[in-house]
Amino acid sequence: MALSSSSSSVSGNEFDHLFKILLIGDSGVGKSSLLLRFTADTFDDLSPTIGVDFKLKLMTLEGKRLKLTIWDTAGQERFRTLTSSYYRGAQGVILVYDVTRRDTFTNLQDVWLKEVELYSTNQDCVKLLVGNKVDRDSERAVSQHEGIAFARKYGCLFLESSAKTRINVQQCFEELVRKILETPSLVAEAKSVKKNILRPGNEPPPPENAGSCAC
Amino acid sequence: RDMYGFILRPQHLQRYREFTSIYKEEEAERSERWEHFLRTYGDAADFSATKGAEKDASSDGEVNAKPDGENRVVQRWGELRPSLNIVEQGIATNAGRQQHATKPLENGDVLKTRKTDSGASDIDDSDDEFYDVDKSDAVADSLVSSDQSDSESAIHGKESPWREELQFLVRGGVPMALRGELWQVFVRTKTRRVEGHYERLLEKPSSNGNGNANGYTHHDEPPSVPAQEKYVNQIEKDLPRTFPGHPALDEDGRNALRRLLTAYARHNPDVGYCQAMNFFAGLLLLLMPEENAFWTLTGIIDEYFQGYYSEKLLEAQVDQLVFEELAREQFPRLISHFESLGVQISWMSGPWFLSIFVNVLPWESVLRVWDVLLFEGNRTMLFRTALALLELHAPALLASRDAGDCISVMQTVTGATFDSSQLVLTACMGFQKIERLEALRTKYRPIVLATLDERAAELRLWRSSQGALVKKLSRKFSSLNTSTKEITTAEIIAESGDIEEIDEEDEEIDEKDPADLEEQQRPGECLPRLFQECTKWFYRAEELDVALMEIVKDDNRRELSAKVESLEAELSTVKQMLSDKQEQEKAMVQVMLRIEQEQKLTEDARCFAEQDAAAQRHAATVMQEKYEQLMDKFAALEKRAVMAETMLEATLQYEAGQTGNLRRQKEEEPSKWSWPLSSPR
Repeated sequence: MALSSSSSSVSGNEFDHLFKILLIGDSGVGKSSLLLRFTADTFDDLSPTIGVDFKLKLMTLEGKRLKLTIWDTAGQERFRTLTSSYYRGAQGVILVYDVTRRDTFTNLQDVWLKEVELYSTNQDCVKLLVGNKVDRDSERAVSQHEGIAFARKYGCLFLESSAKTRINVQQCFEELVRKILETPSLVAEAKSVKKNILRPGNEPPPPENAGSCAC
Repeated sequence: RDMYGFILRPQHLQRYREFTSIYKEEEAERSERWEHFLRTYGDAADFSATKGAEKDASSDGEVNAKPDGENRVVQRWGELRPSLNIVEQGIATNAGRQQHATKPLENGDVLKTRKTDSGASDIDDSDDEFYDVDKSDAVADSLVSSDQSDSESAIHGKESPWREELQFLVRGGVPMALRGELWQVFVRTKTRRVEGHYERLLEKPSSNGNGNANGYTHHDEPPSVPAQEKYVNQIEKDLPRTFPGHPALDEDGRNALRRLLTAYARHNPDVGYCQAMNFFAGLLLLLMPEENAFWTLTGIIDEYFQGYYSEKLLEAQVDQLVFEELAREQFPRLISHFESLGVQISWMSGPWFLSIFVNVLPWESVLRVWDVLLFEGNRTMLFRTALALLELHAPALLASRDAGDCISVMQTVTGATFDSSQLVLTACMGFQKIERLEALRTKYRPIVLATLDERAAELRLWRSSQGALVKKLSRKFSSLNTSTKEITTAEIIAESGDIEEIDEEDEEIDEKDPADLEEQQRPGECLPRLFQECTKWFYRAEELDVALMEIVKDDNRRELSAKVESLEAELSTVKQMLSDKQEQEKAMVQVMLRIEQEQKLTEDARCFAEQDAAAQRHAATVMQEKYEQLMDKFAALEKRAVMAETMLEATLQYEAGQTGNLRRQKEEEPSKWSWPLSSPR
């Protein structure tokens, strides 16, 4: 017994916890942009997401090495029929709206929160409300107070960010992860997931693609 | 930027450069082969003209000659070069054959019967048209007979060698200069076209969407204005997000894209606008004039991907289940590896299929896949390509260690699949049978439909009366949970009573409805009232339905909670055992520790003893030495003693001798010596 508990720290894997985080919200609110800013620190014109996209990010927080798999889901309504399986096992959900488009904010309450409630398998799953595009403050249609009130009502964390100017992007993910780390049930789950993963496996070979034959 | 004007991802730049020369070689080879093919089978005179056009096109660089902005607005429809007639015929007859083959299957599909009929009649028309062409064509005119079916079979017989060669050519890739037109031929754009329909769609105020020339009529309800609004906004949002930065998608290009997508959404409100269509439309606009692009898009979405992009994405979901089964069949190890990591293949393949690999594979590969897909007239190529991708990248995927790694490896390797020929050839040699696909689809369709219904019901439940029902039931559930053991049986009886009640009510409705209907037939004026009644009952039925479902669910929940409880009990016993074991282990460890300590002690003692012994031994040797020394001394002393004795003896002897001498001297000369001595006495 004593032996097996010590072995989890021995393995060559370079992280303590593996967290799954989901980005949801209406089309065009900047989910992919937020994610691109967070993972690659760039801002670009992006294609709409079809179905779902994924990004990996390694970070260290409070002395813990964390591996985040971040699921960037499609915003268009009809893709929602595909997304129910995405929520399974997520420790954190980021609800994104566009501060310049009021409907994206109201839709969170009318649509997206329900999705979370219906499909999330973690009761303690941490929710973070993010109002994106604060760089366009002159076009603002949702005030900060409303965001705060919403967050309080539904028990979410809250931040306003801009993927374009990088404001609060890092903080978004850090806050969320910090909260997850504070929630023992989520951490425990992430650990058990990790144990599962630590099966005998070879070192990943360099990604090899399209062999040598060109004809 | 690559040769098609798309932006390359920086991480792929190196690999793209490596492949550029290969692409060029392939392209040259391809052009030659197609030229040869068309010359052999096509009209020589026509071809020379085509060749000239081709030369012009290729002199514009690798990018296909695009009509400039003004041109595009003015001349939206471009005719195909005549030399492709021959290909066109092949495709048309082939499509006819396919349509006939798939017709029985599709007729079974409730959703699409109407469309299929119209589509089939369409095809028949087109066949007729091509028979006309055949008559004037020197190659095939001898084969036309008065009986349509006869002529059809005859043409099939005659054309199979072409078809084979054509298939081979298409798999090798379509030359860029011909791609736009050949795609139109493959999709039979020309026969789809209804003159003026595109313009009418664009002129139309958006609310007037039903009933169009192509027979794509829709359910009675005209699309509501907000729905229209929705896709308009979505299209507007996606315009700048379609191949951002591509030189051809300037102001004019975006306007064309907007018109194209809007027209399609009006043309088929069932689908409206679905993201990913913007990619297809954008791609088609790069290859052909606007109206041609419209009809090609129509063909692709309405026929190849029928039911795929509709509101529920029904066929897309069905295809995912089908693909999962196929993948499991072909790569059991890989799929079980995915499962062990908790990865569903559909997370990756879903977006692949929905975007037809656009933005998934490098562009050259995307185009090559599209070549084959459009040529084949169905979406089997999606499956083949996806399976080929799994096959090509299985080693890298098998090495992944967690879900995150697995998915990112998949993304990286697919994004770098530059060897398009390898991909397409692997794909084409792979999965072949369409009949099997259809069978699998019919197998999985009900499952998806059931899931969709369930989802709809769940959502409805959420909305119904602000979730009051849910609250009530959840309260019930929680109370049940606390005292399940005692109440279960009683509760179940009560619950089943509820269900019966509801069933009865349902029956009531059933009984009432016909009565109402009879009533209605007599006085015609009470129709609206009746309609209201009907809707009222309809809603009531729905409500009851929901309630029933909730009760059933509640039952399930109770069952589940019982299961959970038993499992929990088991878990606790297991835990108990575990802790017992742990305690035992602890005790054992303590005992072991004690033994170890004792052992240590004895060891120490032994050490001491050994040391003692060594000291004693040392002392003994010292003593021995001393003893020896002493013995030596003793011996020496003895010797001395002996010597002393002998000396003493000698002395004694000497003395005795002296005394004897003295006596004799005394006796011999007593007069001389005795006097003085004896005189005092």
